Amino acid sequence: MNIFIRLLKSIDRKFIFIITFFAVVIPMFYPLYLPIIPEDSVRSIFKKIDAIPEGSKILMSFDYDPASKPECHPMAIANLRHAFKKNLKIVIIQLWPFGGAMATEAIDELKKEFKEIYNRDIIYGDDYCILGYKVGGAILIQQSGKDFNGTFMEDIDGKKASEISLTKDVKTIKDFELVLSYSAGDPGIKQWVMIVDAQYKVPVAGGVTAVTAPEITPYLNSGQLLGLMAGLRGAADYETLVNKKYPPFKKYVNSGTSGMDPQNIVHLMIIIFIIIANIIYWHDKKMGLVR
Amino acid sequence: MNISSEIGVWIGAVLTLCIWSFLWKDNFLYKTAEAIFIGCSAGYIFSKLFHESFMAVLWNPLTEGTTFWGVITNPLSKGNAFLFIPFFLGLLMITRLFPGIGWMSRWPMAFIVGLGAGMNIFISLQSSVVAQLHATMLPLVKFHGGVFDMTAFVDTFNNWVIVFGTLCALMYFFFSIEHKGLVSVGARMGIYVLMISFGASFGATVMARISLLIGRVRFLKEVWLGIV
Repeated sequence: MNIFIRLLKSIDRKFIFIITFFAVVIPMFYPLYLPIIPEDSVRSIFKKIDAIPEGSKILMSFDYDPASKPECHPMAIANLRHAFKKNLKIVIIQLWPFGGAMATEAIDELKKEFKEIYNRDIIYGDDYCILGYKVGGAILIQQSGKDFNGTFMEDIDGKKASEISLTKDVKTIKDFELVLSYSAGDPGIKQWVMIVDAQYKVPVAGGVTAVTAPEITPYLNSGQLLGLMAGLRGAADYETLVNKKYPPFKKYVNSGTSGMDPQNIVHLMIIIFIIIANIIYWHDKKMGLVR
Repeated sequence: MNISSEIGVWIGAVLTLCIWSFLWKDNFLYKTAEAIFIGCSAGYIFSKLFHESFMAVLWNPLTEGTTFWGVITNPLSKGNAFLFIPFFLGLLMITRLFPGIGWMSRWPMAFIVGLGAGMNIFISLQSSVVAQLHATMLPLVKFHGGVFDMTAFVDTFNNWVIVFGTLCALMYFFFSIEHKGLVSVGARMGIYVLMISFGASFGATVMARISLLIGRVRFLKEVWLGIV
């Protein structure tokens, strides 16, 4: 036993990094296709978007940057797929400076998909528009409840919001059926919930990085948040629901779904590491090596 | 395998590997990649702020349809004179760069702090206190259609966890009474509730970090090396 414990204690942390790397890479080459059962908090977003009448406007706020792209981007793409398929009109804003670039990248990807599957063009100004970045966070959200075009004045190309067909009739945030925020921190979904849901009674939902999820979950439990996608798992859940209803999307990149196998394997590995570390701790405690 | 020929993809891949080299030990490649990341981010954010905030919100409305010097007369004629207030506060903020008059930057800072605090007190009380308190006021015995079935049992159990978990966690932070007797038991239970929530946060953090690794590995595999 002592030899075994000494051997475990001598393991270098680089060994753990290497094992983690292979635990991620191997399932990517040999997927296990573990089942994904969508959570209720994700189903409620899907049901809401599904129930919104065709041609209605929804607001998407891209509040993340490249550092959190692997988590937030797949859920934004999954929501956009669903919304475009439902012919909803999407107004995109950004509370983070990189949000516009993230939205542009996501929509460029979807334009190809919709052209290939449905021979449909996703048209800027008609199907969607991307308004420019503004500083202010919560103040902007508050102001958009009173004068939307006066708050988000121009799109990313400098065109006035009042001249874009999609936004020219928008007066306040209440003109949107739903607000979706993809948030990696502050400002983000918390501010949307605290202001738009509480004061203007517009339903708010969205996705957050897994790190932020425990902080945001209380707003879900209290009913202030319509639904929540937490991390890559949330994206995988939404992709599963979209692919079930619209199977042609299955053949395209579903980053959340394909990321679940490596995620599960690494989590299992980390659980094993924690158990091993505790065995060593208990052993040392028994031997009087630690207090 | 279809290796990408795009220079942007190669730069991304090489910088990713440079950052990963830190796992071995701190080195020159890591420091270079880190510096490039910070520099690019700062430059991009400055450019966005300048064009989409300063120009779009302040400068263009001030100078629209006029020459540079019209910035004084034009807003007055168009009723945009109030824009001089943020313009002036912005100028005061820049005084921070000059040690002699740097104290003037406290005025716009005071404005920001006052505005932020005033707004946040109201919305935080409403959403994070009142609504959360309301969400913890739950029935301790729940029935489903008048029957206490398995679903009702699970809901009842969840309600007990939420109600007593909240009370115990609050009791731990209640320092006006010595933690003895029942208060001590409640406070100890509160510690366990907090430890469980820290465990949940740790699990979520692991999930987030692994997601980032998966994202980078997928980029290297699918975009850079072209292995689909």
